Parts: sequence; C-alpha cells; structure tokens
Amino acid sequence: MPTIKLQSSDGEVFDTDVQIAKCSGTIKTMLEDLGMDEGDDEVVPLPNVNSAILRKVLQWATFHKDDPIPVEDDDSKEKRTDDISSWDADFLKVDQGTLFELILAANYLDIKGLLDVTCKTVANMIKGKTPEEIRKTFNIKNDFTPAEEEQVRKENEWCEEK
Amino acid sequence: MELLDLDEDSLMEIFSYFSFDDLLMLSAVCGRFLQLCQRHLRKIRHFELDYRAIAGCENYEQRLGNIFRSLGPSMEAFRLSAGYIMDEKLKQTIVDNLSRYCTSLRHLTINYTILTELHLRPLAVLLRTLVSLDLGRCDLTDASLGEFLQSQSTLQLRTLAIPGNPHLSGAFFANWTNCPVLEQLDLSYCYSLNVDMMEEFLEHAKRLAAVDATGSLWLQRNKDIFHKEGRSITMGTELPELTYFKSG
Repeated sequence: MPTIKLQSSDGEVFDTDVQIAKCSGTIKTMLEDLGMDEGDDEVVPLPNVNSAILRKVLQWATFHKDDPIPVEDDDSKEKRTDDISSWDADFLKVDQGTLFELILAANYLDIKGLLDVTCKTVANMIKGKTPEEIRKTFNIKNDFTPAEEEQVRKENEWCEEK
Repeated sequence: MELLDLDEDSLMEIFSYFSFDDLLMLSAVCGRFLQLCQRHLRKIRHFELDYRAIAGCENYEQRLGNIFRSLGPSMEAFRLSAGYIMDEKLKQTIVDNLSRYCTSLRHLTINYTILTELHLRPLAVLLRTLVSLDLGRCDLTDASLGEFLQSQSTLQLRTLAIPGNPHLSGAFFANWTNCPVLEQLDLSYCYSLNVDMMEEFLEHAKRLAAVDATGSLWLQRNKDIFHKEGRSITMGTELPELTYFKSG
C-alpha cells in the first residue's frame, strides 16, 4: 500500500497510508496542489501538530478510514450530541488539554468527522451544568462585575426553577 | 491548554451544539461565553416559543423583550405554541414584541389560542413581509380576519392557513382583493364556511392553485366554483414545513 511521510512539529516522522492521510482535507489538498506523488520520498511537514496529537489523530483516522464522507451541517436544526459511537467515546477518554489539542488539530487538518466528535464531547461536558460548575470544570474566571452578572442573569434566565 | 485558549472557530463549533435554552444559561458564565452565545443566538432564524416555558416566570416581560430584541430583526419564521387558556397580558406582550421587532418575518404560525382584533391589529404590520401565515384554531371571526387581511394595500402571502376556525362564515372573502400571489388556502374544519362566498375573491386570487375545504358543510354543492372558466384548483394543500429552535 502506498505511504507518505508526515512530520510533526517536534520532528517525528510518521509513515502513513496515503488513504488514511487523505482523511485530512488539508493533506489531500497539499498532495494534489503540490503534485506530490505517492512513493516520493518527500516529507509533508505539519508544523501545527505535535507527535502525541498526530499519533492520536492517525489512530482515529485509521479506525474511521472507511467512513462515508460526512454531510454538511444544516444550520437551521438543533444538532444532536448523543450519537457518539462507543469506540469514539473510549478514544476520547483523555485529559481536557489533549481533547482541546485534538480539536485544534482536526480544525487545522480539516478532518470533519474528528472535529464533530471532539466538539460534541466538549459540548456534552458543558451541557447540564450550572454556570458555577462550568467555571470550576474548565478553570474559567467569572469576569462579570456583580451588576453585569445580575443583568445577564435577569435577561437570560428563562425560568428560575429550571 | 484551557477551553478558552481555543480559537474562535473551534469555540463556535462547540457552541453550535447548544440549544436555545443552553445558550441563555451559558451566557452567565463569563464575558467570552456571553459573546459566543450572542453570536449563536443571532444565527437563529426559525424560533418557536412555547408559552408554557414562560408562563409563571416573574420577569417574563423583560425576558421576552430581550429575546425579541436580539432574535427579532433577523428572524424569518416564528411559531407560537399557545393555549386556549392563556394569560392575556402574556399573549399581548408576545404579540407586541412580534410586531415591534420581527421586521423581516416571512413565516408566522400561531395556533390554539383566541386571537381578537386586539391581537390582530398590532400583527397587521407583519403582513408587509409575510409569505406564509397559519392562524389555525384561533377563534377568528369574519370581521377581525377581514379587517386584518385588508389592512395592507397588497399582500405578499402565498400561503394562508386558517383551519379549525368554526365561526368563520366566509364573509371575510367579500372584500378581499389584495392577494395577487396567494397560491394555497387551507380552510379545513371551518364548519360554518360557505364556499359560495369565495366567488368574487377567486377572480382576484389569480394564482390560487390549491384549497383545502375539508369539513366545509357546503363543499359538495358548491365545488363547481373551483373549476369555473377552465380553471382547476386542487383540493388539498401542502403547507411548507419548517424546523424551529425551541424554547422550553
């Protein structure tokens, strides 16, 4: 099977199946635009992804290599977050930092399936929590003045008892 | 790395999974969350309000005002799930906010509540932009509906659905001439409606191609009027179906 070499920001080179590397829209375009041919010994540099994250991304892409191309989102509908496969859920049992780095990598590498599932996972960590619990979970500082906070609360809280 | 170290695009993507109610609640976390929530709220074009979600809330006037101020101007479709027994002041507040802020509304649906002249008069301004209107089961009368429909010089309406309004006799058709682009008319389950009253109206509604008059007592006798002078109007309508962001 043809392979290409991907180089992470910290210099590690990953020999990767072309088919798997092409899960990434960014790499696919690079290969096509630059006329890099399979079998060339050229190295594709990925300066925005470190080796730990690239390893995870390639693990994900290998498992999902036969997935159909995801469809574009319909903005007018509410999107589901309860449809994460059990493999993905296990794969994403990582610390917050890794999860956020995966989102950045999925965005940079243009891998829609991975971006969707990582963002859903973060959304699920936020849903159902009170503002105070969210601040605690994600280490966020409440930067509202008491007056601003009261204003936001009044305007936006739909119903006290909810 | 922390959540708020993510770039704007990634954060917007995460926030795209939140419901309307989530977004309101999350606005209270911090300034950055507030700004991201507001960006998403402004993208909501189709909004459904369930009165049960606000009935009994202390500050509902202020809350409704805030919702309509931020969503109203870009809102294309609004649906109110109302109730026959509904707080009058709440209903009036919703009607007033709708007519004040939803200046480019194209689809309006209000069902299952009593709408009188007091509600229809303020709503008339919306007729300037509406292409579809559904006032099913709103206890409409010929006088209130007639005045409402004729309040503007020309209507953009392509679809009008007023099913389940049993008091309508059809008298409102008499002077209704400002509907050049009307294509569909749902009159189903308006039991007292006399289709005969539509004769003159049909001459003005030149584009009308589908009428649902299921349950009209007079249909059998009068249905020839839909096929006059070589014209063929289909019996039965296909109303546009939209999906909505919901509250509650």
